[in-house]
Amino acid sequence: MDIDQLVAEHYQPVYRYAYRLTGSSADAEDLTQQVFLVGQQKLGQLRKMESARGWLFTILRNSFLKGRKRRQPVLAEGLGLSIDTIPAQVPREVDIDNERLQAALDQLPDNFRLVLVMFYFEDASYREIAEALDLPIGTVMSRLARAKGHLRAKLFRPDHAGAQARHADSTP
Amino acid sequence: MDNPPIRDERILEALEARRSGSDDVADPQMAQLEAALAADPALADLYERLQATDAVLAAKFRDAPVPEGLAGRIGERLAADRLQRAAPVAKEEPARAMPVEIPVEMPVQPRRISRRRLAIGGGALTAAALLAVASISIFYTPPSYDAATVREDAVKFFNAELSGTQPRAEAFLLAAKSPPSGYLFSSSVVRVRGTRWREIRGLLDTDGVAYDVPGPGGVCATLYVVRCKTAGLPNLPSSRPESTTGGCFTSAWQSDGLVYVLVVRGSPQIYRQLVRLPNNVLT
Repeated sequence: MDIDQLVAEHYQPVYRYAYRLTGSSADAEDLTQQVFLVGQQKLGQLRKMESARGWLFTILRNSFLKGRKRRQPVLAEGLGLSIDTIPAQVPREVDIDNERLQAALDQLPDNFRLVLVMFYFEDASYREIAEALDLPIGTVMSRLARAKGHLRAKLFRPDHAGAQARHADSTP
Repeated sequence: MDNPPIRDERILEALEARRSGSDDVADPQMAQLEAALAADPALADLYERLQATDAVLAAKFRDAPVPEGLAGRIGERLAADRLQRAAPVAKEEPARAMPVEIPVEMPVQPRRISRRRLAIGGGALTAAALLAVASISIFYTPPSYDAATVREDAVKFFNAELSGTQPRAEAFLLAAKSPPSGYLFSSSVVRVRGTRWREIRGLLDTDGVAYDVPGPGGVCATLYVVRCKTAGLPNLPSSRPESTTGGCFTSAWQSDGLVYVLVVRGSPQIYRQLVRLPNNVLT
């Protein structure tokens, strides 16, 4: 397996994933380079080319979490459960503002954001997320539901006034 | 947004986590949701809308602009990493790479050999192999270059780069991007603004880094930095550079395990301006 081939085929999704996690193009580029650097050093561990993307995403998540450990966690305001944020009409992709989406993501604490990005970007199921992050399924479900509600509130509900938002006291 | 109220938090969480077509229904929380969806058309409608919204959001998540030239920059960082990691083992590599051939006499006819004889024979072969490897490790020394060879090779390399017969890797501004840490710029050379570094291959049979020093008409000098075994090289650049037939002035020295060769085009004055010596010998 060739590292140059790996870069050519996967640098774009890896960068996009990194961008959604870090919220900054400079940090995303650093993280992307870090991913391929680790990939180059551990290339022998990759058995099949078909599983390369998942392998790189795993390196990316680990590098992201490692780099974030020393940082102060961002506290997201009002991470409650809400279905009122589900829009009456299904939105069109073009109507979703990229910057607004990223701003909403950036407001989430790292552990909520990671679960959300895995769900949307990797199409991972809650079980897969729980396994990959070594978390209980209940924790993943709780974080996912709250993070999704937060995201929709910021994107589809301009006033963000919680009609049915119930703030969970025991958010894991 | 007037959605049906959901009192049970577990159903709400399951609703958000569920993916159509997944095998999650085996989960008790999902089974509860399944029952609720079957019994409540309004909830089923909400779920459909949520799925459609999630699909749009998923597409949007993957839609982020990728900076131009990113693949190239990743490639450069990987190459620099390879270079850096290769540097410390370069000295030992020839010794370890030496093939050891042990003649083994194959019997014409297969015959029974006792375990004891096999063990003795095997032990003797292993000992012989170890002895051979040890002898090679002790007595083998990688080729070493004298000062004149170092300078000549560097000038040939420099001219080949100028004529284009030797390919040049992409160069980076020294002020903007650090070179590999194992091949740093020499403290005996003046660091001119606009100096660029790039990776090189094949000088003195090894890899390294070249620093191109800018002058009025382009590159006026190149400082080559490599790791190789040398004999008789001074620890500082010479105050009197060697002149070559191609109109270049060169000097080679070694410091901290690195070999430096400065090749200057033009006049010895440029060389003197670039080289920094103790006690201001040159000025």
